[in-house]
Amino acid sequence: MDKAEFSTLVDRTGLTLTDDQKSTLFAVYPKFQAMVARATPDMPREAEPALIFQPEVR
Amino acid sequence: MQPFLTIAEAGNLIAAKKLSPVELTRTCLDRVKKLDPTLHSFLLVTEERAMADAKAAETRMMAGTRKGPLDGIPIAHKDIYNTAGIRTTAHSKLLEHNVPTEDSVVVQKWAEAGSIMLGKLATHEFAIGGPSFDLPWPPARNPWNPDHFTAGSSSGTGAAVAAGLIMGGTGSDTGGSIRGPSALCGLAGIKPTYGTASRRGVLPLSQTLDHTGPLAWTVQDCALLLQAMAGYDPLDPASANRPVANFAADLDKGAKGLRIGVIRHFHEVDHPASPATLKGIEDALAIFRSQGAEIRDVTLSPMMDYNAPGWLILTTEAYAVHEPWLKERFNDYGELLRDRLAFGALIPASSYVQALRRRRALCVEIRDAMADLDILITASAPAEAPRIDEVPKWGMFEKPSFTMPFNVTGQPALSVCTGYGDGGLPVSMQIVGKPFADATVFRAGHAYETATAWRTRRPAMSTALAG
Repeated sequence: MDKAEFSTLVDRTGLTLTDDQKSTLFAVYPKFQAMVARATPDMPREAEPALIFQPEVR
Repeated sequence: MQPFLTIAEAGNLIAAKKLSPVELTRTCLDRVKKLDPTLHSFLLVTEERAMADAKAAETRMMAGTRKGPLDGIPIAHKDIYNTAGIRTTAHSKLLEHNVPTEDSVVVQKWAEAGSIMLGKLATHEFAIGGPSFDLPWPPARNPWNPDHFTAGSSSGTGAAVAAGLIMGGTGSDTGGSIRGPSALCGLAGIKPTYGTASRRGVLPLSQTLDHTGPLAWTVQDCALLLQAMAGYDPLDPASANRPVANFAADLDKGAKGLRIGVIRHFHEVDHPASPATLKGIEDALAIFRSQGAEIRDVTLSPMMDYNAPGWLILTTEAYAVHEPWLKERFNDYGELLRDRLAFGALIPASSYVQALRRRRALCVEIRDAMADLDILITASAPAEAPRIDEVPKWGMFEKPSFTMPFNVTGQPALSVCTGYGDGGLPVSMQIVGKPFADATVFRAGHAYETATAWRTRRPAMSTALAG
């Protein structure tokens, strides 16, 4: 993703950032993407999300 | 001026009518006046209310109607805890003039226990944006060296307790915001099991990771403070509907028979800790072993595997909380908060759900690893506090935090001071328990703490004041 594409991506969120603010975020965007990838490895189809509590502790 | 006392010590003296809550409160307020122009730990001092509450506590003491161990004890609250009629700002321009009409549940519980509230404490903006120099108030400073960082986000609580301005205070912990300041300021601080203490009336950051909890000088004091804040709250959807444990019940049992797992790769490989931190952990293990604990190493997924979903969940949920203001008043936030949370707008919904699925797998991993263990040990922080002007803005992308894994799993986790590094600032370790086994965590922490002399040392600025 280049800087112009990143700018468009940010604009689509509804946030109103200056070019400088976008540049700050763009500089660390590869690290952001790497973090998202690490947080979302392939999971078995049946894997459940967290926070489905056991009824007895609710 | 009164000497430094723990909550337990002061409570015993008050119960015996040998210590006046009024004099104790006055001593703390005097320390605030002398030290806080350097520390910036308070955003607001409520002196008039404090003295009125102290007089009421003294009346109860003289009448023999003391409410319990916190009656007459000076405390303060992180400024994300709502206080009725008293400004609650989250250290942010956006809430600069916000005056809630109701107390948060924890504020109410501590008040009912007879504690004396001295005021509201600095935080990182909305418990995430700090240390920041572009907010209406400056960031708190570390009493061990005011050029250094307190950690956050319960930064004011960490500084105020370490300096002896208060005897305990509230914190909140979404990725380490109780244990971080406890570690860098040389305190005890516990993130209890998720659902132990109500979050109602505390400004949210990330609801599935947010915990309320106390910071104090000792583990025993943390147990006393948590006892007074724990309990089922039917109006907090995350509150656990179960009896409140007696957190001090096992304090004096020592470490004999405890089965301890050491997550050595967390602090030796995944984020190598400083020599002083490593020595503190090894010395603690030797103490536990000498008391009769069984110790073995434990291997989990790399620490960053816990941090990544934790960070993603936190950023997404926090963005959802702040989205309206971020869209309308982006530049009214400090730079750190707005830049960190802006990424929340770029996280796909599917990634959030995948992170929640990953979170469950990690919870199961630790549950299985602890099947025949009582506690886990690792570091709370990698080293002594860095200079406050050298804290990286994007540190979460560089190295994993030692505290975030246990926000992800919701387990109780306690930070205790394990000594001091080459720079004279504290180092620490983290003691982690099974869900709702907070009393076991306190037991281990107290066994370690009372076997060492670290609690006899206070920051030089405080001891100089005491004369």
